[in-house]
Amino acid sequence: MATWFAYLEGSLDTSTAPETEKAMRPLYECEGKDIIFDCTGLTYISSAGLRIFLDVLKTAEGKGEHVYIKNVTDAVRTIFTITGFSNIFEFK
Amino acid sequence: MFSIKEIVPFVVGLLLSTAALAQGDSFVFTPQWTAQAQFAGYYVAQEKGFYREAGIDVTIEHPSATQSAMSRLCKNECQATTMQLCQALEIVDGGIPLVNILQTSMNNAMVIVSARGKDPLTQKGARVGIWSVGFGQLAICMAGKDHLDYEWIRFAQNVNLFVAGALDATLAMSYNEYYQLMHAGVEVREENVYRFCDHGYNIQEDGVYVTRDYYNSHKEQAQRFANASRKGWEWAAQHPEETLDIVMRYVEKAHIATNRTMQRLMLQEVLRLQVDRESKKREFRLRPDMVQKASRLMKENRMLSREVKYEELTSPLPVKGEKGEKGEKVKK
Amino acid sequence: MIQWIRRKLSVRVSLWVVMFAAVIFITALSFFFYQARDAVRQEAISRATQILDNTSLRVESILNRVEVATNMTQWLIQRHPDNPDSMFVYSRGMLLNNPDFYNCSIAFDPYYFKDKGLYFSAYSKHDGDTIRTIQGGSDNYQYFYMDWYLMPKLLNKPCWTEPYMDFDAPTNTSNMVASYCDVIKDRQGKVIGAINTSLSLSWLSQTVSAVKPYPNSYSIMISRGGTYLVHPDTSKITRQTIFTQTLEQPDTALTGLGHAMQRGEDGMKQMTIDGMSCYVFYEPLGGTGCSMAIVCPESDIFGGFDRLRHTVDAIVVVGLLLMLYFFIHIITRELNPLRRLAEEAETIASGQFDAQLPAFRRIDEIGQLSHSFAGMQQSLVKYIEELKDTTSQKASIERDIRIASAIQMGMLPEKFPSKADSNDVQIYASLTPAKDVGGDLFDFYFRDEKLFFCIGDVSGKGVPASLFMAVTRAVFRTVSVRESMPDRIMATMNKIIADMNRSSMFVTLFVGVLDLPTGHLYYCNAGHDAPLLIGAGVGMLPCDSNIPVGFRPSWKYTLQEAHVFTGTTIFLFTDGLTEAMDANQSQFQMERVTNVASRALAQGHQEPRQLISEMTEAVHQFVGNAEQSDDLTMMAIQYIRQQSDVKLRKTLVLSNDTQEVPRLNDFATEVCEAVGLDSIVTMQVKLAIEEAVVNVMKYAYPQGTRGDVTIEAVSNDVRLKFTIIDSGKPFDPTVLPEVDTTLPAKERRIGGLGIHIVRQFMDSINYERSGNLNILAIRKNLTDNK
Repeated sequence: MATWFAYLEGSLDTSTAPETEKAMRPLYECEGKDIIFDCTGLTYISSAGLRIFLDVLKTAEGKGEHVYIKNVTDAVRTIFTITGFSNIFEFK
Repeated sequence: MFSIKEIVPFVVGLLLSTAALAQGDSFVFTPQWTAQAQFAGYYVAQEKGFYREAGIDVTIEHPSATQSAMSRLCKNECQATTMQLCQALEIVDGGIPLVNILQTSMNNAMVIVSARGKDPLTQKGARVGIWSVGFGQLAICMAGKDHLDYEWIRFAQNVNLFVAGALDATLAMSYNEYYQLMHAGVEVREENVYRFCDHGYNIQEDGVYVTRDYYNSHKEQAQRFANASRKGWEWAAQHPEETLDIVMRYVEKAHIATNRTMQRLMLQEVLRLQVDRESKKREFRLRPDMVQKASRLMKENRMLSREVKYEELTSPLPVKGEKGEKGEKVKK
Repeated sequence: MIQWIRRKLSVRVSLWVVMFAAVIFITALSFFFYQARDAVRQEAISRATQILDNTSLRVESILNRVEVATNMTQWLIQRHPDNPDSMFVYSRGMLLNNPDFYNCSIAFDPYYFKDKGLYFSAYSKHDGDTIRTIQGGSDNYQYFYMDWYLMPKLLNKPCWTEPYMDFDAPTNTSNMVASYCDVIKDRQGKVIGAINTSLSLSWLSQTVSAVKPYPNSYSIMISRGGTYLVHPDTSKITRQTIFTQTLEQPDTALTGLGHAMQRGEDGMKQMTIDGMSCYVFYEPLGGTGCSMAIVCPESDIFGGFDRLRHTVDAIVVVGLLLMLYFFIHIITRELNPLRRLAEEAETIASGQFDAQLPAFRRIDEIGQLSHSFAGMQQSLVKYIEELKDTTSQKASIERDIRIASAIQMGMLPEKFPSKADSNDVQIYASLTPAKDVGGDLFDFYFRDEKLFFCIGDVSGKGVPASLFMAVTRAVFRTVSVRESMPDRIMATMNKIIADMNRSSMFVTLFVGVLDLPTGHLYYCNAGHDAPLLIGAGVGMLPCDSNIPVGFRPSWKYTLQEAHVFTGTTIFLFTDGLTEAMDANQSQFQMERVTNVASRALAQGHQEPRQLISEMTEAVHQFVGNAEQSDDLTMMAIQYIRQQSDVKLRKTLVLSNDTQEVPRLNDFATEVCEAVGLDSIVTMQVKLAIEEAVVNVMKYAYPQGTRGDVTIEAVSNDVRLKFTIIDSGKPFDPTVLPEVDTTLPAKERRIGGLGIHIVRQFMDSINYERSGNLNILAIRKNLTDNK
């Protein structure tokens, strides 16, 4: 099975979110593909950023695909945890 | 330790009594009436052996129907008898000298009891019973003096006439007939009793008399009899119930129709009469004043031809107690 | 015994019946015996009288012969008084004609016959078969002193002498004799002597003593002088009179008898002789002056009668006892069902209501009683069943109330913050309901660095009040979660409660919100007692007069403010404190509350727990043993936060453009680094600030309008505060619904997540609308994160 990797770098805040969303759009066509967000370079994420993750996940799950998140920093992981997103995403 | 003075009279006395016993003295005493408590002292002296102790062999013989005490004395059938003072005065006046060796009565016992609740002194001309044997001298004197004009009815027997209603009043001795009246159911009240002793006639009555002749020859014996008799009376006064036992033995022996109750009353009264009113003692002495009073009363009423003196009744030798008597007289 | 009789009806009834019968018997028998006894007595009297009459007649016939013979001789003598020697013939003739006579004397006064001397008495006496005739007077027998000689003369009539013992000297014998005597008169009627005829009395004695009508009776005979001539005790004869024993022991009965007999009366007397009750019948014997008597012991007379009476008595007694026995027996048998009924009743009384009653086929009173009793038993069983139900219902209610009480108490905060676990406030409260469940309430909780608290008192007591209290408390919690200002909380609560209040109850309520960082107090009082402020002094918190909650839904409640300095205690209470009553119905009153508070303050005891315990103690002392009249609730809140100096103050103004966010993030990062937070916390704070500000940007200003957002950061040693101010439309993010972070991805919505993140990463978030500004304060404690 083919896997798409999305590499995220820097700060994903309200101001950078629209741009990021645009960049993520190809991911919505993900039939037969697993999506892996590599968050090694992600230093900050706000709720606007989280919404992008959620939209991708909802689309992928609608098509029966899996979305994985890997290499999150501790700071970012706390945000996932606090918001309950850690429950709906699969971490590698 | 005995002193010589005490021992000597004792020895003498012993000798004398032995002498008396040696002589085998017999002494007959006759009371003036049949056996009764009036003579209790003599019965006691006999029964308790006072006479025997005194060395005299006393026989008590009561007078019989045929022989009066006086006649026995005169015939020397007895050595001593009892007599009222007034009787003795009459006899001495009549020429038979007597000696009083023991005076027992100190008071007069005569009373007048009237029938039907009347004072005897209010019954002028009343029928009054009197002893036929002459005890009533004082009553006659009194009646004469008070002009009572009594009809004297002499009688031999006791109180039957009075009880039968045949008399208005009767003379009685407080120790004898007085109780007989009550004994016969007569209700005797003080208001219908006249007691001579309370009205200036307290003259002594019973005493023991011997003839002057006998006294002169047997002075010693007479005095021993008198002393033993006195002792008998004194014992009787102290032991009335035992005395009564003795009296009842004499009474029953003589078949006298009486009873213990009557004899008890008589003994009490006789013993009471023996106590002198003034000294409150049993004196056992003749009182010169009473002798004089009786003598004079009787002479006034012609019962005596002369005044019999006290000395005529007593022994010329002073008997025991006479010294004091004389002393008193001197004082008077 | 008496107890036994009291307990036994049968015995009592029987005793009454028998007693009644006994009374009848006794009355009848007494009457009968009385009559019978009287008859016996009359019989005895007539019998004795007859005997006496017979004896008297026999005696008199003999005496009569003496009297006639004497009178004849007297007549003869008086015809021939001059010849003394013929007197011997007369006297001898008397005895010859009458051999049963004892002797005869014809005596004359002394010297009546001159030649005969002093004494002349013609005396004849039986001497064996011959008659001795002699001249009887002598010196030793002076007859004229004798009774027989004197008496007729003195009495002037013929008479009988007193009996006497005649001693006959020649034969030496004695005889009891009595003499009939009379005077002899000469032709001129002058008394010249007396004639005397004697009769031996031995025959008389025998005749009299032979009289014995009863086995133990005896006869006596006394002379005129009372002397016994006949007596069963022979020792008394002649020696004693009937009066002898009365001389020493007075005996009026005996004396009376003696006197009556002496007087020659006849009759009957009842008296005691020698300790024996006797009847004495007496009658005189002719003219002798003697009298005889028959002494009959009562026991003899009434002996037969007494035996009869004793027998009858015994029969009656035995009969009555048998009657008693049978009556007791019969009545006991008749009453036996009653006893069984009583036993059953006792069984029922002991709790066995289903006990089987004995069945009687009787139609009498006992049957009726049994029937009534069965009815009573059924009613009793039914009643007891009902009682059981009622009791269990009541128990159930009581249990419910206990549970309700427990639930009610559970509603109240149990954990009170103290110095040990809080830097801001210390709180303590106590609620003592007057009944199991009460109408007082208090509550407090913390939200967004603010202390929300209330105290209230529902009108009335008990279950209704408690329900109302529960509602009030629930409404407080619900409303205060969205509203932060007490006046608004109060107004909302009032509206809710008034709307649903159909029972016209109300609650006085004090609602306060204490801003913990500043000590600023907002409050609203709806008719409740004004709280005390215990700090520099003791003072009452000024309160506007608002009506209690629940009356009018439209009431405008006023907001009041005050500043609470560190160390000051707010003391809240219900009227259960000021109106606590002692036994004399006097109240504790505000003055005492103030005094206790002042004293506590003076002693440095304004700390909540101590203050309330001292207040409680003071109230208890005052009330004593009186019953608690109202719910008593107290709550004390001490503000203890130490204010710190401001160390940092930065301000940033942004336009409402999300493109400004990087500036904001830089500002936040700069501030966080300035107060020395680590990178993770810094990131969290940065995130929270971004989310809060983006929210404002998105919602405060409508799409397309422009506006500024001012962010001020202030910090001291312990706290970092961001204040976000905008002039947009009123928007309170704190009241947005909570995000459910547990939902699966499909159902998750991204909205509302921002405020969730703020709450998670910051320590408090406060919104207030001031003028046309929305002011949102977000705080982060520094002490936890260094």
